[in-house]
Amino acid sequence: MTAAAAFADVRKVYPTGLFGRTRVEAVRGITLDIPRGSVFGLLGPNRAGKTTLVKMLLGLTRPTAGAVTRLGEPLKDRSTLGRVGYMHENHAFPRYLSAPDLLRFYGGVGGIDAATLNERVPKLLDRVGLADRTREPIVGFSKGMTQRLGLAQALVNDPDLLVLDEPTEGLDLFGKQLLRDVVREFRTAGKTVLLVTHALAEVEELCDALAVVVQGKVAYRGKVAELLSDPKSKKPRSLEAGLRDVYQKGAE
Amino acid sequence: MNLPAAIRTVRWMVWDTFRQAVASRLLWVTSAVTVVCALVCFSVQVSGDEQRFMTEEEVRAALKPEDVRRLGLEVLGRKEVIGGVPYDTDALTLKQRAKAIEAGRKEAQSSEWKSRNRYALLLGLETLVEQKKVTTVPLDITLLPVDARKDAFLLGMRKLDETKNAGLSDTLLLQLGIETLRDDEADFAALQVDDKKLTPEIRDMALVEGLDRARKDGVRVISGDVSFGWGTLTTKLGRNREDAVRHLQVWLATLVGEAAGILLALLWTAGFLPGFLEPHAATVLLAKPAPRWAILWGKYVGVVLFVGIVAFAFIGATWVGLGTSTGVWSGAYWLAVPLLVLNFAIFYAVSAFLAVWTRNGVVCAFGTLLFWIVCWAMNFAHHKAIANPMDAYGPGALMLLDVGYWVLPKPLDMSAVFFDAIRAEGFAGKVPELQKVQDAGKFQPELSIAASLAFAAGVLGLAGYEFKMTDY
Repeated sequence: MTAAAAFADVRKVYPTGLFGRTRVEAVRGITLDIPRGSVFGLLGPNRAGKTTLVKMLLGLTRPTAGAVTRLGEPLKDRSTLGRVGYMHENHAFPRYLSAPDLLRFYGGVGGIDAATLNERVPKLLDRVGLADRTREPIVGFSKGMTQRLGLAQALVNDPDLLVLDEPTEGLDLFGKQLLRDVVREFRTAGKTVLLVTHALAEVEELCDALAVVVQGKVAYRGKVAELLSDPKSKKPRSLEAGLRDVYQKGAE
Repeated sequence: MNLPAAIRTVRWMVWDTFRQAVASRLLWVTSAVTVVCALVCFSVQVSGDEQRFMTEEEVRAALKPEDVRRLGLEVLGRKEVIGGVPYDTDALTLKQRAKAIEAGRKEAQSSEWKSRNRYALLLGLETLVEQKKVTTVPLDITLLPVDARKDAFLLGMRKLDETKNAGLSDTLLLQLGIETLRDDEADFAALQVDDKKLTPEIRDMALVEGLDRARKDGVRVISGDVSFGWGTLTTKLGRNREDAVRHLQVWLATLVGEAAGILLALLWTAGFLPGFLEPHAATVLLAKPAPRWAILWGKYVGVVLFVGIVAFAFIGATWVGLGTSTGVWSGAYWLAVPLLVLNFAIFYAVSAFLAVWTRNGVVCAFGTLLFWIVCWAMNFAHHKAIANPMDAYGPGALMLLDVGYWVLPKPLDMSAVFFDAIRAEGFAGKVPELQKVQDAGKFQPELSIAASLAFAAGVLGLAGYEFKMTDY
């Protein structure tokens, strides 16, 4: 079975500075498969290149070199994006729309027909706890409510691959629980979740496998459990300690 | 290219843009302006003049109310009720005379409507003197019999059409110069017959005498008023009923619709795209299976369609208002809708390109405004160069003007198309340089609009390409 997402020796160089003459290499030859039906964590320090990888997967940024496939198809086949859900950590939704209108808009642009949307939108809003806030524009929504709406938006097309970029940001305890439930349901349904996060509790609890990106390269790829014991002493350690070790080695 | 996905995307983006426009209160502001203008139009009353549209000859031959009063003054002067009315040119110094002649020469070269008519009259009089049908030309032409004035005017108009560069004698240029300067220069204002200083009785007498004289001479007098606010503000009917209404329509379409409306819409909507294209606002949408260019163009089409609906409502409401209140239903006024939308669409394409390039609302607003000024200036300079070939333009500058004119949008030309469609030349002044280019048969409206549209399409294509290639 093909991977839900695959990166083969992918590089990304951003031109910066005056006339783009300075170049910053954000991703330096990453090869990585994200297996279907898994909950895959993507971790790393700030500016490691995680977001660039996600952006390439979603077609927001083009790789400078290498190949990326999404649900078995090359990036240029944008139709596969119709089977991808994306939740962004700090997204600014059109504030003039109400929650149902917003879901219809994103679903409509995503290619979902009106009948399906009419059936799915109320259920989703109920699921994320916004069923009682359907009439007002989202300008009055709190950060947590906006995140819940973002989750509903990511689920509106019933995706096969769910990409969550810092999804717990701003969510309360119930919101976090909701997110965990959604991720577990995806796993049960044999679907794939790519979780980009710094929240180690979620990683430890939810992820089957993870990759750690440091300075544009994969510094670690494997099971979460492998990071929970010291490779030399074989003593148990926290995920944070394990990650710190990977971050340091990756930076050397 | 996935056409169904593109169409679907454009449709949803249009829907989103309409919601944004409503939320931004643009709809309410434009609706308020439309309602106010429509109310003003409903309140317009045109009285006195018959509703039949006069022929061009009839309009030219008819006297305007101010002419009637001067005619009456002449009669009263002859009856020695008041003193003489001619200009006292003996009071002029040599320097002032030279200045007046120079001003007259400049005015005579201008094609602005009033001076064109005046020029025609003077040209006709000069011809009549040459033909010895009139022995002398008094400085105050109102002293001439009405028939002579009419003949001179028609003759002058014909001659003006035949010979574009016909000249005037210094005497007549002096006359024209005084008329030009008397509103602005104190020295010349003193020479003016100030009928406002006359007593009301004399003014009334002058009107009666003038009307009587015109009737005897068989010359039609345009009579009547145009009033606003159901009679609150009244002014004399300048030409005839239809011209008065069309004059108001030109004001509405050019001043309110084009100058104020389009600029307001450009400034107001300038922030729509930059805000939408910000990474934290666009990434989720760009991760949908929709072509990027369709997202951008959908937003563009949405804004243009919205402005189109607003323009349709504005022109429609004012058309109904004026038609209902005056009985004049001028269909050509509707041409303002496509022209306003076209004008907006062309410049909003530039705004869209700036939005993709900079994602900055201020740059979009002022960049588009600056670009509009540059286009207007290029359009004007091109026509000026054609209208005045004797001006010192080098071949390089002329080529640059030509290229700039054909490449850039042409806002001045679009106003001219509307002016011509509504036959506004009889009551509103066109930019003189443009008039000269049109008179010389060098104005190509279809090609001009097509070139402007091609520019907009090119810029929009460039914006779409830039957007497609942008990394988020």
